[in-house]
Amino acid sequence: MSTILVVDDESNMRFMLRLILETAGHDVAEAPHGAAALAHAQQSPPDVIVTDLMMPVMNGRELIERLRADPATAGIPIVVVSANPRAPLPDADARIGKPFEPDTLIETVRSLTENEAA
Amino acid sequence: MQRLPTGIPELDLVLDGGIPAGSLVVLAGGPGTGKTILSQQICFANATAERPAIFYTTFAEPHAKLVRYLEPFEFFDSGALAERVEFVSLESLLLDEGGRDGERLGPAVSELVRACFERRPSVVVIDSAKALRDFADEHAVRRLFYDLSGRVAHTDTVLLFLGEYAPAEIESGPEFSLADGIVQLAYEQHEPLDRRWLRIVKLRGSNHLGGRHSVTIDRTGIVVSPRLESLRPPDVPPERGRLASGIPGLDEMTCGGIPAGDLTAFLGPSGSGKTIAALRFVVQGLERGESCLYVSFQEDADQLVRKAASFGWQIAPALGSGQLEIYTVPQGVLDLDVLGAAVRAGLSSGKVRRVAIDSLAELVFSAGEAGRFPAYARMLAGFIRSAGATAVITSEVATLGPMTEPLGGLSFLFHNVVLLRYVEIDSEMRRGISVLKMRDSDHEKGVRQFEIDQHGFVVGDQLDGLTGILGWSALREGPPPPT
Repeated sequence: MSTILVVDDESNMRFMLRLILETAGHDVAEAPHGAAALAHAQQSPPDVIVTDLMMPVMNGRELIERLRADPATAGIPIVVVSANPRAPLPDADARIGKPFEPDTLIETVRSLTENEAA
Repeated sequence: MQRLPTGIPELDLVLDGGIPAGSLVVLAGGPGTGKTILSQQICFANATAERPAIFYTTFAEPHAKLVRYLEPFEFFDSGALAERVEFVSLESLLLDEGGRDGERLGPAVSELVRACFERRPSVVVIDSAKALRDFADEHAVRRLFYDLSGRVAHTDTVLLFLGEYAPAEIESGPEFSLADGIVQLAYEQHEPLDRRWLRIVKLRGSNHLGGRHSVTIDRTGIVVSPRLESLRPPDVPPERGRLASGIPGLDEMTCGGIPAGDLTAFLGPSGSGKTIAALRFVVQGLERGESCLYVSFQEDADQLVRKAASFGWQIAPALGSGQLEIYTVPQGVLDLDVLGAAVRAGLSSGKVRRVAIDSLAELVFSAGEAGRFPAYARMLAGFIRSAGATAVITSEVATLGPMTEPLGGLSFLFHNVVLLRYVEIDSEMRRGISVLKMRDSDHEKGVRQFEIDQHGFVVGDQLDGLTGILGWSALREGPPPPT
């Protein structure tokens, strides 16, 4: 199973994401905003990052930009979970609109981790 | 002074043009008063890619719920989320980076200031600002407001702080002494329907409109109807001349018709013909090519079209072309300011020459605001006159027995008063019409008989030889009938 970094400013949303992903057998780490996520990813890169867009300190867009700019984190697959599924995000690997079905998230993460493994 | 429009034109009118740029404004009110909707409406109205709106939550609803409840409103645009309008939680900054009370709000202040300088948002909302008290003492909250108002004042971002503050807190809370503006919102019990209102308690650098302004919420969002008495109609020279009433005989009684720009009341008991008289006044204007506004409390447009057609008056084409506007006061919306806003909106084109309001007594008594009616009616008349229009207003009086003073003694508000009465003559019910008063004009003092036939209102001859018509009944003078 994979290690997933969940990034969201709402603790309830992080709780939900953790519950879904742990039920699917993943190890989950959390960050409440982009800056904390970036530090975490640079220190111990996860297999996948699942991130919100609208957050304090550093939002999801800047987080993706900074991750892609750093060779150590540039290859980490990123799933954006956003209330606006139409928001342009060229550097994200996948996106899921809120609200979402748990199976959608599990399947999205699975496909990204399988691609990485292949 | 640069001002931020709220997206609600009538609220901008109340705010003297909008919210001053760079100001910190508290929206204070209990649950259900419309604070969140109002702030979100302001966000969506002003957010652009260059100047986004940021909605910070402390411990309010989860963002998913906020968005779900926003979706029904027309101002909501899901494509704006994360692009122009952002929902951001301060929860982690308030919870995870704690310290002593005086420092606990520091990370949140830093985030707000950073966002204002780096992102240059047009609006920043904090919902709920009162919840900040859960994380720090009053000194720290005061310090937060002091820091924010001092630092953000160097930008032109508007800060909106929302909170469920009781009225007493507005007088003592540190938020309010440091705020540039305070908007109080309320939801209060009122018969037959509860009401919302807002009041500008304070708005620095502004000549805002005082008093309680009605607030309703519909698909467009918050709708503000300014308190009519707080407005000032444009100062324009009064109209001159007379308008034909369209009622044969009545213009003779008024010595030439209804004076232009006046407020003329048709008073009478139920079924006496007030609505027909008001309708005929409007039809007369339509036939002369004038634009007209009809405000109705009982009959909707279809009913009025049918009623007019029964007298041979075809108003449907004028309704279709926009020459005639019929505003039916929705059942249950018995609010003087909602009516005032509707009349002002109807007059805003500057083309309306005739206004009929049918009937005013129903509104005044049902609204339960008879105390403010004199000032209200004067202002309503002022707006109608300044728009170059002339109005007739119907109002009901007792059907039987001595005629009490109409509208509880408020008939002095009308420039002219026409009274319709049932009279008993030879054990038969007849109708009588008289002109009770006309401002600055002579008029007939007698009582004439009138009929309503298939052509409408027909005024006949004077009812000679009768007395007591204005009192209990008509009494025939002369010798008693033979026994």
